[in-house]
Order: sequence, then structure tokens, then C-alpha cells
Amino acid sequence: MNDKKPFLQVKALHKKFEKLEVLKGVDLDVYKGDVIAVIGPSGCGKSTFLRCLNFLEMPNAGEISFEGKIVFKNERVYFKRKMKALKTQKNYDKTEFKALEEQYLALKAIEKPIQKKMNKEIDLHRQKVGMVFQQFNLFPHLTVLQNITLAPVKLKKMTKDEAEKKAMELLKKVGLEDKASVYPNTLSGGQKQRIAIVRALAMDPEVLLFDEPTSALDPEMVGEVLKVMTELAKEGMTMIVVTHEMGFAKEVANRVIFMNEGVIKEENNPKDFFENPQDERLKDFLSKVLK
Amino acid sequence: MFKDIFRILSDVEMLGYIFQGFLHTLVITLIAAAIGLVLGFVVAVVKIMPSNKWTRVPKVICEVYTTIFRGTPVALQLFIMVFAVFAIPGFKPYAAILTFGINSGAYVSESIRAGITSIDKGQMEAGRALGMNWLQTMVRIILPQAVKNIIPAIGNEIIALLKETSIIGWIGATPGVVTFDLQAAADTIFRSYPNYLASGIIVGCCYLIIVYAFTLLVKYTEKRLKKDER
Ligand SMILES: Nc1ncnc2c1ncn2[C@@H]1O[C@H](COP(=O)(O)OP(=O)(O)OP(=O)(O)O)[C@@H](O)[C@H]1O
Ligand SMILES: [Mg+2]
Repeated sequence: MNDKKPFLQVKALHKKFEKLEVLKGVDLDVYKGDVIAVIGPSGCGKSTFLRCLNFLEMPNAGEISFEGKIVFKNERVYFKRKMKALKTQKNYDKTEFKALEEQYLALKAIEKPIQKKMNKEIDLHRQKVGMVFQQFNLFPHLTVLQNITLAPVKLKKMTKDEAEKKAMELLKKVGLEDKASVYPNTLSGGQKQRIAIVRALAMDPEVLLFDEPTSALDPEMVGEVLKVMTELAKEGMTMIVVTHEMGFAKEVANRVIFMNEGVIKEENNPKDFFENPQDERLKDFLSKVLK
Repeated sequence: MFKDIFRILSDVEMLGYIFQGFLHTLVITLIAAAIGLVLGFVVAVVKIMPSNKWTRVPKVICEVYTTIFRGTPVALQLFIMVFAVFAIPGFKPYAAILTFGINSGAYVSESIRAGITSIDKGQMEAGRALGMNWLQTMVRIILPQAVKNIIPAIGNEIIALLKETSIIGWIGATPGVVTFDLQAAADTIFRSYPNYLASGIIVGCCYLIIVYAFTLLVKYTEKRLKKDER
């Protein structure tokens, strides 16, 4: 696996909300077909990380490459900060400042075009990076079928007929083909989430992001959603799944990641991750969630 | 009193005034409401757009506009617009209607904005996450849901506007011009039949008829929209 190139690469990703630093340098290489389970205590930045990958949140610094192309890059911000800090000192070193400024400008020349391009292509990026939300976020004013076909048709990925055909195939796969013409508010939580997964799949994404897909569900409905996700994993779908379902992490994921305090504290294959954790906080965390 | 009402209602000249007033009140309200709706919609959308260097200035302008027009009495706005801003001979009645429209636009924009922001944030995120842009998501996802909240609010706005237009005669109203509304009709009737209660009740009933008809229309539309779902 290691001789393959990662198709999604995250380097030193930083994200702040006002003063609150949530991501403090996250690095991750994702390979085609990976199923990565992300676990960690509440508020450690798991959702924020996931949302940075499709730019629902704009990272402050770092680099994201996708399919070999840099889609986000901001490193000049560090030099800007250093320049600012330097300026606050009295009698600061002018040549040092000059040197920083040069580096800053050099980076800016590289990063500005990437940023401009990204602003234009952000919607294309999102078409390839699908997302499934904890709260499903189905469109209540549209039928199930319309929920699924709206984006592919609107974005001219498919004709209406093709999209509907594909939607019906996907619905069949998740066992909900009889629900095509109903409105979402007549469905159970588990059904809603399976529809949400189908909606994301209808765009033919390269990778799917799941943010606690089963956390809003009644316990008896968790299984049906995990089953769909497990099938997807078997079919080779690349997935990054923030979850509290340790069973899924153990049995379906090929990599498990522990996030804490805004960084990835530990990563391993599921077996070693759960049997032989290194990080103290992870041991503590696992002892609590595994009981 | 009933005698006076009866006498007024059997006086063809008075009936003519009432009919004219009725018509003009309707026309003034509908034109002002149309202006208010268009203006209000544009302002609401500008206010809701994501903040960037292109939208910053329009956003400030819209904010100033709604603050001023919601923060001052409409009579004062009429006074300034008719006698200062649009002091063009013969333009007075139109300036007045325009003022009501602009004033109503400020309130309508808030109703629309409230309707849009009441939609769960996750809806916009879900649309964007599928790769649709802001406008596509707004038009296909957010607005169709927001309309259900917006219609009743705008209905109330228009009813308030209808009642506010009763001050239009204050810039001068003689029978035959558009500013001769229901209130002006009441004043004119009073000059022939000096009974405040009688002329007041007649004109009041006219206002009620319009308001009631309009309320029914809003209710009906609301019901239709609700039926679309589910
Ligand atoms: N839009 C925002 N504005 C301000 N602060 C935010 C925003 N989104 C998240 N935060 C804060 O960032 C921190 C990390 O949030 P995040 O949702 O990424 O955590 P999480 O690991 O997903 O937690 P959970 O398990 O509860 O979902 C939290 O302290 C949260 O309050
Ligand atoms: Mg979260």
C-alpha cells in the first residue's frame, strides 16, 4: 500500500474559530479504498477536520492535495504572523523583517493562484468529496427521489432519466426502493440516513465523509446504517468516518485514528489500535468507551 | 346614526366617493406592495449573501436603508419624500405611493430574511456539500422552504401597509385623483353628512372587507403550500 500515492493528502492543517484554535496541525494521507475511522473525545475537532476537507469550513493554514493537485495551500500566514510579532517590538531588526517579507511574498506568489482557482472550483471539489451528516439534512420539501436526483441533474452530471435510474438502483441496494416517492418526514431516522447516503453516492464521489452518521439514531436503527456503510467499504469506497461505533472501527475500518487537542495523536490498524494503544489519553478514552 | 348611514348609502354622489376611495386605496396598496416586495426581496438576499469584498458595500447600504425606514414614522417619510426629495410638480401622488413602497420594502425585507434564516443551517450545508453553488442551493433548497414562513408574514405586512396608506390624503386629496382614498372619502362624506360615526363606520367596513378578503387569500395560499409537502 505504501508504494501507492495518497490521493487525498493533508499537511499541517490549522483551523481557528476566533481565538479558539481547534486544529493545530493535522497530517493525514488517504489512499484509494481506505476506510478510516476517526475517534476522539467530544470537542476535539473531528467534525471541524472533516468539514475542512470539503471546505464547509475554510482552513486557516496548511495544505490539502486531492488527486495529485494542491487544492488548498496557505503557509504564508506564518510569515505574516512573524512579521506582525516582530513589528510590535521597538527597534526591531529591519533586515530580519525584510527577509521574512521576502519569504512571505514568494509564498504569496505561489499560493494566491491556488486560492483563486480553489474559490472557482470549490463546487467541483465538493462533487467529488461527498458528505453524510449526523442530522441527515434531507430536503423536506422534496421527495426521496428528488432529494437524490436534484444535484446530479442540476449540476449536469446526468440527464433526469439517468439520474432516476441510478437513484432507483441505489435505493434498491439500501432496501428502500419502495420509498422513492414519499417525503422524508414520513421516514424513520435509519431510513433517512440511508437515503442521505444514497444522495451522496448519486454524485459518484471519490471519497465519502461521514460525521457521526449513527449518533442521532435510536439504537435499533444503528445496525441498518452500519450495514450499508460496511457494504460500501467492501465495494472499495474510500471513506473517512467520524464515529463512536467502536465495532465499526474494529471490523470495517482498515485504519483508526485518535484525535485529541487538535492533532492526530495516534494512528494504527484496528487490531493494534485497540489491543495495544500507546497514547495515555487514548488508553483512558478506550477504557471508557469499551467498558 | 343608522338613519345617517342609510341616507349616505342612498346618496349616489356619496356612493361614488366610497367607490372611488375603495378603488384608490386598493390601487395605492397594491402598487406600494409590489414595490415593497421587489425591493424587500432584493434587500433580504443582499443581507443574507455571504460576506465578501463584492457584497460588503451593498450590505451596508441595505442595513442603513432598513434602519432608517423602520426607525422613523411613515408620515415623516412621506413629508420629506413628497415635499423635498421628489418635489416635482404633478409627481406628488406617485412620490407618496413610492414612499409607501420603499417603507414597506424595509419591513418586507426583514420578514423575508427572518423566513430564510429560520431554515436549518444544515440545509444550505447539505446543498453546498453536494456541489451546488450558493445561488442554486438558495433557489432550489432554501427559498421553497422559506416561502411557507414568509407568505403569512408578508400578508400581515401588506395589511399594515393598507392601513398606513390612509394618511395619503394628507398631501392633498380631491375626488378624481389617486390620493383620494377611503379615508379621504370619509372626510368628504362628513362635509355633507356631519356625523363622524356614520361616515366612519361605512369606510371602516370597506377597510375590513379588503383586509378580510386579503386574509382569506393568504390563508388559502398558505394551505396550498402546506399541501405540497407530504
Ligand atoms: N462554527 C464554529 N464557531 C465557533 N466555534 C466552533 C464552530 N464549530 C466548532 N466550534 C468549536 O470547535 C471545537 C471543536 O468542534 P468540533 O465540532 O470539531 O468537535 P468534535 O470533535 O466534532 O466534537 P463532537 O464529538 O461533540 O461532535 C468545539 O469547541 C466547538 O465549540
Ligand atoms: Mg462533531
